[in-house]
Amino acid sequence: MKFIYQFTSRHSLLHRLDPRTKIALVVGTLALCFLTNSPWWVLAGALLVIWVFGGISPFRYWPVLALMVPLVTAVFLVHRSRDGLEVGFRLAAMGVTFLGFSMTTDPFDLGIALNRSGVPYRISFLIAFALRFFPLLHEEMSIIRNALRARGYQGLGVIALTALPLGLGALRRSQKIALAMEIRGFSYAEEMKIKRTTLKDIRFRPLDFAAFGLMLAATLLMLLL
Amino acid sequence: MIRLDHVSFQYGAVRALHEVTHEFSKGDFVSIIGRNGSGKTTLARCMAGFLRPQTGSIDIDGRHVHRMRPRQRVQVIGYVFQNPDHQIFCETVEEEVLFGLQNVGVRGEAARQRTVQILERLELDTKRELHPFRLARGDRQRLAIASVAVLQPSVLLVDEPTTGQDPVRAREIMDILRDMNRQNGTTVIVVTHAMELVAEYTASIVAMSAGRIVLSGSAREVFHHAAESGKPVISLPPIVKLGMKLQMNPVPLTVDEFVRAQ
Repeated sequence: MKFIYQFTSRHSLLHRLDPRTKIALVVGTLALCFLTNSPWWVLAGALLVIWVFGGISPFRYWPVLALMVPLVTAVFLVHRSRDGLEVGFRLAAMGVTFLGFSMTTDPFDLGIALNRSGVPYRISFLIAFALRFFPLLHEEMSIIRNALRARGYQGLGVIALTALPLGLGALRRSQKIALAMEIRGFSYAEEMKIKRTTLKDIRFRPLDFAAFGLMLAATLLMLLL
Repeated sequence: MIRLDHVSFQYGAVRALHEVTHEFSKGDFVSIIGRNGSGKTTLARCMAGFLRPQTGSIDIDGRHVHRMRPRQRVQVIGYVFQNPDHQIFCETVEEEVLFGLQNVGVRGEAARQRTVQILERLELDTKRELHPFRLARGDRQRLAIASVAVLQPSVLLVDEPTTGQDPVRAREIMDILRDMNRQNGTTVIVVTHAMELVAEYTASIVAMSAGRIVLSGSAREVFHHAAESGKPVISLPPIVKLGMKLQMNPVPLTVDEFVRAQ
């Protein structure tokens, strides 16, 4: 089972960008969200960019968009003003931006990119690994919830009851994975003080600089307006 | 009787079930077999009501599975997941078995009696005070079965119960399921890859491939058709292959049958 937010390998422009560029684009979009009084344009822009440059139509992730409708409505109803609507759309734009990032970025590319930027290998690998295994935990959580339903449980304590099997399962799996990684020399490079190699060549390309420039221009334009 | 009528299900763009139509008889002991990704577990989860098919319907004794209330559904159809560790929520073995009963409103002496009976039957009565995670894997699998079987559903779906079990434990689990089928008349449907056990224990087989039921019938019929078609939809048990090579008629399903035919 594949979740909506999971990375799918493609050759779109967004997929080919360096993960660090995409982080900068996400940060830029967040800045735009707070700088503008019309965040719906940011939301529309994010949807369009993911569609045109990422090759992922909004219909592919419509359940996420459908979830945002009650969120925006609830925030609007709390404030009962244009401000409320702006806050709701800001949250929606941020949600779509993060979704676009996770759908177009391979977690292990992100790990390599972070490592290239000076983040210690163990930490960058840990981040990549956590992102890679999040969908597995998500799937396991839905199995456990179904197991509760199979025993007739409908109460509000689902999260508390799910925690034990989910936590123990994650611990067991992480122990096994750590062992499997050590068997394949995970610590060898650090212990022997040799340079680790990577199969993928993650580096800034002209495309990344162009994306940086466009984002910067959009932010400046928003500031001037 | 379980009736599947043109059931289709897809995960995003991936179609897992294509227009599946089939009837499972009441009191049957059936195996659903097929390669990984053939749609076995998806079909079982649709039948248990966890997944709602995009098209088609599933009825049990004339009642639409997806229209039943959850508490009503668990007393009609039970589902045991592959990994027992996903089904452990309580501090002791006894509490684990009681958990489902309390959820459906069985309390007091009735709940205690049913718990004692199922623990004795599955030989877990001496371990009732232990934490479930302290049990061996085979015992945890039996506890998972006990926790669902105690609700006395008329249909019990079991997803790959013998995976990761040694041959002795695997046989014990199949013995338990056969006893439940014979003694209580429970319809047992097992999703499995263990072809030797399928041949030995189950009365009928449903073979799946690419989201469709490609063969169904008695074990002998299905193995015969699978061998005749020449398509590697299922892997025949070695004793069946040997019987076919020796052109035995009927083809033996177990070693005992083979020996008796000699």
